[in-house]
Amino acid sequence: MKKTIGKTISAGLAVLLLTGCSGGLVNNVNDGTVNENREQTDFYIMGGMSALCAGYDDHEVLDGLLEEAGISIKWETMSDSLAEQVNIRITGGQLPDAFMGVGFNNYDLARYGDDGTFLDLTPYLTPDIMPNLCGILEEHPEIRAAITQEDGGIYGLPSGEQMTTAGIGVPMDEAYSIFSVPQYSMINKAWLDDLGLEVPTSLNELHDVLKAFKDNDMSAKYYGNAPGSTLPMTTGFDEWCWGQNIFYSGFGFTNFPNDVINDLQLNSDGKVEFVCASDAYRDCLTYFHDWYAEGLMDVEMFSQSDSQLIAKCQQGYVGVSTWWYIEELMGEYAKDYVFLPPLTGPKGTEYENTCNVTIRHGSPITSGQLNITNKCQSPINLLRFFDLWYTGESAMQLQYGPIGVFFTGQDDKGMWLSITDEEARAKYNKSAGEVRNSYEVYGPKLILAEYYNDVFYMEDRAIERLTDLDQFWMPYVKDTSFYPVDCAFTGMELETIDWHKPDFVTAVREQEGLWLKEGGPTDQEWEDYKEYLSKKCGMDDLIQVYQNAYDRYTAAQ
Amino acid sequence: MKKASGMSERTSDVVLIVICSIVLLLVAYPLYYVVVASFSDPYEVYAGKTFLLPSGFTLDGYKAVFLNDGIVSGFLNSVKYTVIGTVFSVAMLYITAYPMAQRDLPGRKALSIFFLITMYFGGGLVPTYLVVKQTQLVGSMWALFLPGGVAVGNMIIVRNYFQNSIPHDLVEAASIDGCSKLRTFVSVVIPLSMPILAVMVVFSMVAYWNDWFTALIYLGGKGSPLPLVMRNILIKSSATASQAATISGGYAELNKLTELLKFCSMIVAALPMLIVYPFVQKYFEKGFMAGAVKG
Repeated sequence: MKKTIGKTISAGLAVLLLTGCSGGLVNNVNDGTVNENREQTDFYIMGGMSALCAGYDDHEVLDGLLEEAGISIKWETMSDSLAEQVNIRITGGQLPDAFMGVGFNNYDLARYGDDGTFLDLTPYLTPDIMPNLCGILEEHPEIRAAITQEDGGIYGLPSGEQMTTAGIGVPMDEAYSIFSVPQYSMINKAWLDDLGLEVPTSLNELHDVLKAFKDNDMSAKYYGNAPGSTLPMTTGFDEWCWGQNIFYSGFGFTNFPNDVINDLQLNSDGKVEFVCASDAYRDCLTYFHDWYAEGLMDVEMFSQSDSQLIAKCQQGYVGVSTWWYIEELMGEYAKDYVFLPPLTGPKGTEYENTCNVTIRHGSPITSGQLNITNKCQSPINLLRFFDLWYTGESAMQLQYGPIGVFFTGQDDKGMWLSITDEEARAKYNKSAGEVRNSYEVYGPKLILAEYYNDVFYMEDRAIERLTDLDQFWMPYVKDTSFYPVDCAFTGMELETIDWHKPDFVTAVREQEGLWLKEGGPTDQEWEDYKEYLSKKCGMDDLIQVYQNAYDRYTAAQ
Repeated sequence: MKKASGMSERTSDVVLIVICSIVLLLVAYPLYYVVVASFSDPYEVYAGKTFLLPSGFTLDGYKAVFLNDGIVSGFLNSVKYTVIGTVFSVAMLYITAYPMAQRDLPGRKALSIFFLITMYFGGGLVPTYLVVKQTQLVGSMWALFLPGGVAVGNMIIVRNYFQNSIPHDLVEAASIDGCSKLRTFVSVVIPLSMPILAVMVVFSMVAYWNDWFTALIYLGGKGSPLPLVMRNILIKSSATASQAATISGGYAELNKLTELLKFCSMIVAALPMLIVYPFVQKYFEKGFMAGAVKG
């Protein structure tokens, strides 16, 4: 008897201590206990939806899952202005039972978790309430780590899509995300052949090739377009799959835009640095300014939209560009283009033999896709429904479309086969992509890398791209470290990031563009720039924050 | 008839016509270009291939617009909001501007300042939303009209018109003839202020016709007006070059429709206004000049 009392008291103290340690408001929502109420079966969920989706009211897959869970949901979904609407609801206190597919970032989650708007789901993650998810979390502790906030709470259910080279047979621990190299550079081989030139392997060679394209007005000569229409090279500026960053490989880095912060580089020794303050970066911009001044780079590269880039490329004006894959950008001219490999640096400099692609992170595991609010009377009932999402077949159907529509049957290995473009056009008068888009549900879908090996096949185009990534691009990657996107930050760190990141990113971007356009920095300008970044844009604080978060991340692994 | 020195009438006509034609071209070509672009392959438009005639003729954009279920109800909603909103706004303008135009109105200066403050300072989106919510207007069409019922800038124009363009003697004469204040307002002032009335009608009409943001915030997706419907059609077709869109492919195709829809929706949304405009235009010039002189 005494023992029991002692246990109860110490358990109570532990709870008190835990809530005390989290430093947040002690609210009646997140007191670490399970709300056992199971009366509510009608729920109201607000959230985001693919713009091409017809709605969730008569959605085959969702209806099936709802019936299995024995609840009903009133959906209020929207495909734009979601952020404003959600903010208004939260500020105005008109909360739904849950938000789905909103994509709250860690900053929001920390804030709304702390003030009790979102329920802490930690006590609910038991095999009794969520058997499927708990199974996954047990096998993948890294997913649990990724969704746990710094205060120890879990304010949303995990989601993510692990599309990696594991899906084409690379061993799981050596696999890389499809996003590792977003920009594939490409060159017009037909023009090269016409001029008797080889595919360049160094920046000097590419320079001469671009000059030859321009001097010979290849667009007019080879494709019969208007005279003077040739664009030797056109890309966007620091854009995600259509930027110029891949060409920086000759200087030892490729600062692809990413979801952490642009220009952050993780070195193999575990130290982070901003590549935009390095000497290589300075030399790189000085070098490419000459290209720009010679008219080899498109003057519209700073202002054009992706539509304009596609328009130029599909008219056959362009010699060299970058995109996710060749076919999409080049349209009917695609057959004339081949990959342009990452190039070595300029001859006669220290970069002569340098060629290095630095990769970016894959898609993150986030917990901002399903968040239960304090309005929800019976979280258990709602969580039982969402637990049904965490099987391979559910996740696959929620992502692509129902079995019987998008998935046509199983092969002898039990893998689901998806509809081909021809079948889709014959049956639904839509492309396979459109069929998929009309069924896709935004929410806590967790598509694990292993599903591509034992549940369903990856899309053909993804397989193709991953094969190219593995065979053609990864060999140019000397150092495979990259800053992990699911590093968790403390409240203070988030404040620092929130405060400095916008200024920092804008300052770097503006200066990069200016130097490309008007010539690289003098010594004085370079020093001023670095000082500005440190003093005014918090570069040192940011490095410290990212370094600390990374150190904790590796320590926890 | 003796000719004036300088150019003959004929020559000056020719010169004027040439100048006017150039100005007309400069103004009309961009509009015409949008019409042409709405029938053309957007990638050819962006590549600079369209000039006078559509290039890569297509009706896909209009097909996507008119096949949308929401378009008819959106149009009707817009007409409803425009008519009710215009009547309401103009009535509010008149009943505020007329008293403010009376020199013997007690506290006129203080009232003026009161109105002026609202011109320069607003509560911002969230506080305004909270007020609208607490007054139980969210989801009702009155949320579109009531919060911005009196457009203060327009009210000042109307007030100045009353002060400067309606002779005070006339109002006095009416009252000597036994007209009550209300009767004077209805039978003398309103008929005399037709030009400014027309201007205010056009201003409100255009504002309500084009307004989508208020509807987006307060109506909660029900009873969407045309611009909001158009916007949804546009967004439905649009995909950003985001990670998800690029994986499944078909981005270039999808994006083509989006770009095309931008032009088509511009035409569809602007057309009704373009049709109405010429009918009120003659009042418009006259009234606008009249109200522009500040007193």
